[in-house]
Parts: sequence; structure tokens; C-alpha cells
Amino acid sequence: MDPKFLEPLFWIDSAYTLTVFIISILIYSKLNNYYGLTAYEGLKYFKNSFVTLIFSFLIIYVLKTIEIVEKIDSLFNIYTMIKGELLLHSLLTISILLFLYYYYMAFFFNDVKEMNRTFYHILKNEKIIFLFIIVCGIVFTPKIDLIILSLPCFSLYLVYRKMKKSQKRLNYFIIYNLLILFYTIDLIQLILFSISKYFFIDMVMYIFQTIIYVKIWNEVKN
Amino acid sequence: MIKKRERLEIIYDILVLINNNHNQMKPTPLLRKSNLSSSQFDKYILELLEKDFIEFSTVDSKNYYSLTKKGFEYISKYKVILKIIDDFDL
Repeated sequence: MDPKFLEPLFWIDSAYTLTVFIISILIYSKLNNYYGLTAYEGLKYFKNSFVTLIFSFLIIYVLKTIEIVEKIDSLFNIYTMIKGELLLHSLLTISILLFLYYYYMAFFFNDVKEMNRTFYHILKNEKIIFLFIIVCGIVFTPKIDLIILSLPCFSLYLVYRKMKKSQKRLNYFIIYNLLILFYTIDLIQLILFSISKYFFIDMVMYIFQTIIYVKIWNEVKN
Repeated sequence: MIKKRERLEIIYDILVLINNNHNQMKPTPLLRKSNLSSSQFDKYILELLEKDFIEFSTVDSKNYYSLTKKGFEYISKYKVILKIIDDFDL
């Protein structure tokens, strides 16, 4: 076996990705069952947000593994990328944009429906949105850092909006948004920094993220 | 929040009405007890039949609605689903 695959970071990344993958699949299948029964729109977008998260975490894992194996300081110098890495990079951009779409629709589809019916019908049409996101993903791949930074800003704004409107405590909504925060940190770390230097931060983040996932799973499975 | 859950609640109410009536209920008392307008009632009954939550049967030339396995599943999971929708504010 290549000694690089024996590095603790590789095994921790692998275990973490596998855990997230399994819990996300479990959450998705439960939500899919509930959606099958109710056809409630919010549940559809919410369950799909977990699929996009799985997709995203798998790409992050592959990119991190390449980074560990090849010991490259930054994979994200777009001009020196080989074709395979560029493809992964585009897929990552697409997965982030898809996640943003499902996230927004899961929590705000009713607001959009009340605000503008035409806009709602466009947003509801997943085929058009997929096509749009794929084009955007390819176009914005060189600007992936901007897309990643837009993720917490967008989420913070939406949390603020939701909290302002809602009259009850939204603990689980906040927990879900914490997941986005860690996901963003993961992305920033991958794209802007050399991962191997931040072993401790990785560990803390992985533990927190796993706790959040387990908490969401506990809520969904009851 | 009431508006968002309205549809799910109406479906639940109709299913519970049938269930509480020994899983066999005639259309007219069901319409009366559901507190829905005739057109709304028809819309929901059609949806429930299409989704296989209820089935239509004729016994001694009388028409009845009764719950299917999926209908019972909806009743048993309704509160959990509602809790998820409420907790995450979906």
C-alpha cells in the first residue's frame, strides 16, 4: 500500500465521509418515505438537500485524497489543473449551487409562492433549474471561492429573515444551519489552505458535524 | 404555519374519521363530518383514492370508503411528520 494512504488524516477523512454518507442516506430514506406519504413540498426539497450534501462531501473527499497523495499545496490553481481535477472542481461548484437551491426552496418555498407566482413556477421546475445550475457551475468554476463565500452569507441572511418572522424557537433550523457553517469551513479549508497543517481543526469540525448529523437523524427517525 | 399544514391536517382528519367508524364510512356522513365544502371534499377524496390511502367498496348496494395499508401508515406517521415540518420550519 502507498505509505501516503497510511496517513492518519486519510483514515480520519475516510471514516468521516463514510459516517456522513451513511447518516445522510438514512435521513434521506426516512424523509423520502414521509414525502411519499404526504407529497409535502418542503419535505421534497429538504430530502434532496441531503443528496446534494452527500454528492458534495464525496467530491470533497476525493479532492482531499488527491491532495494527500500528491502533496500539492493548492489544487485550486485553475490554470494548472489537469482535466480530471477541473471536472471535480466543476462538479463541486454544481453541488454547492444545487445545495443552495434545495436549501432555499425547503425553507422558503411558501414565501416565494406568496411573493411571486411566476417566479415560484420557474423555481419549482427542477429540469430548468438543473440546466441553469450546470451552466452556472461550469461558468463560475474559476470563481468557486466566491460561490463558497456566498454560502454562509446567504444562509446567515435567511436565518435572520426566518428568525425575525417566526414566533417560535427554531432549534432544528439553527442546527441545520450549523451544518452549513461547518460545510462551508470544510470547503474554505480545502480551497484556500493546505489541509495537512490543520489536523486538529479537522478533528474538531468532524466531531461537531457528526454530532449535528446524528441529532438531525434522531429527530427524523422517531 | 396553519396554512402550510392545512392540506395534511384535512387528509389526516378524513382518514381518522373513516378509521373511527370501524374503517368503513359512507360518503354522505363523511362529507358532513369532515366540515368541507362538497367541491373540496371531492378534491380530497379523489387525491386519497389516487394515492391509495382509501378504497371504495360496495356492500349490499351501499357505497363505503375504507382505509388501505397506506392510509393506516399515514395516520401512524402523521404526528412525526408534522413535528419534523414544525421543528425545521419547512
